[in-house]
Amino acid sequence: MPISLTEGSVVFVAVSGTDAGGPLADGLVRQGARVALLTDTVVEADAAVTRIATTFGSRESVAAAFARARELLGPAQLVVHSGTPAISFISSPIERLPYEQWSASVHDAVKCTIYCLQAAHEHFEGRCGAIVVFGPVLSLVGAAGLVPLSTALEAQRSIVKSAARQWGRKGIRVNWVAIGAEGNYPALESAVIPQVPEFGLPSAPLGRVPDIGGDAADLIGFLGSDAARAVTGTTLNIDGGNWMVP
Amino acid sequence: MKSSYIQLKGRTALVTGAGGGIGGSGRGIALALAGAGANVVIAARRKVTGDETAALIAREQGTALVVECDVSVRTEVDAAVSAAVSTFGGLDLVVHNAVNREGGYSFAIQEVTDANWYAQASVAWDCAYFLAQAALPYLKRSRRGRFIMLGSCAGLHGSAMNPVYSALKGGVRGFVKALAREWGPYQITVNAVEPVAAVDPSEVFFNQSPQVVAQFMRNLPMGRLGRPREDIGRAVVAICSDEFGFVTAQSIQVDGGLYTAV
Repeated sequence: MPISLTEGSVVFVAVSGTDAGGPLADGLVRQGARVALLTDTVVEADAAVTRIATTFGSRESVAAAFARARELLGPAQLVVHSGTPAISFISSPIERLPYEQWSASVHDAVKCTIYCLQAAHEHFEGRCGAIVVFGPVLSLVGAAGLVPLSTALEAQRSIVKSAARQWGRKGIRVNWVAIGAEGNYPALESAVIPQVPEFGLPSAPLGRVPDIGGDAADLIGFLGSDAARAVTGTTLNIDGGNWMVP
Repeated sequence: MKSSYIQLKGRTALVTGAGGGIGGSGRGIALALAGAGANVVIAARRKVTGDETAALIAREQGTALVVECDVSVRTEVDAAVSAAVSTFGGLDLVVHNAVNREGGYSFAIQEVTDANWYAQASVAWDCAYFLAQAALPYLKRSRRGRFIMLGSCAGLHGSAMNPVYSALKGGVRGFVKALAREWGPYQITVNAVEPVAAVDPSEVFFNQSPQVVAQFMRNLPMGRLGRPREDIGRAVVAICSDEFGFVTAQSIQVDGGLYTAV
């Protein structure tokens, strides 16, 4: 049984707020998938990736983007989503955090994820499918200056579990992938990323932080494959063994 | 006053949602804090329920102040913090317990609307943000400040029937972890308490879904819901005590052993 996507599989990658969708889409194309990238961000991506510019500010706009992707590529077996508004990566102590930044970072982020889950559910209606939501791992450990980002990510992770419980019997699996931030999220370079308190050792036991386009795309491809048919509602932490989150 | 072996005398606590209904966790927390000697500021959306809590505290010779407060409105949260400081001279303990009763209703994710989201999120999250901004100067001054949020095991396991509530309570875990790192240098601890209790949202939920109650109870190792004052309130009192001064960034299960997968 293949442990990655089968050749020609259709994948919708719906990413808001970061350029992570580009390398991820490329990585999935390398696995043989046909990929639609639904994004509100300017990204570099392989010419084989079908780009669909969209906004994630309403249920209708997201549904329209999914409909367009279906029109162009046909039904997807895997939907990959990340919703982290760019403003949520700006580090600020909470006492100096403006309400506009707070609101956009938490409310817009989670609503975006709800819209994408709703669109994916409608897309899969009557069919089996997989959804993978991803974001930087730091929400699992918290980061000073990034209270709203940590809040929104943990909320998204919880609603992924709710979706997995609600839709499992329909054959829709939903999982969360937490990706090491270093190198993958340039917007966090000015933030203080917490490190594992291991004395004198490099933080990642594997010696590097996995990248989105290779390591994370392979893991997400596995989650979209039939080999992962019994995996749902889980959090897979891909950070090179840095935080061994229970 | 029903005395507690933990003494918080001289400290001032602000508890949101401390009016609550019969069996509300906020009321139980307020009573427990007052029982430990703290001055308690009861932030209640409806003054009449806050007055009821205050009367219970007064009956036990405790000290309380009622502030009518819609916690989703920044100016009202600021006013509650100001009232605490002007009445009692400072603020040491903040307990954000308030929730919107809509959290007890079941939703399919595909049916969730923006209105559902904001009804709950403005109370659960915006209030936490407002409280953190308003209370920080006083918690710093306290040198033993505590910021406690009420989470839920629903946020951990991802409730199938309450996705918005689950998301918001899951978000509480992210909030406290990040804020604890931020406020650690000020010696302010930030924690979440995740109870299973006979509180308003669970009453709504159970009334709406009686068929799940028996099954739920069978899965509770201790076979009962937590009692708002004795089980949940006293856990909060413990976190507020000096004994818990080095415990921060934690989401503490007060759930009778329900959720064991952490």
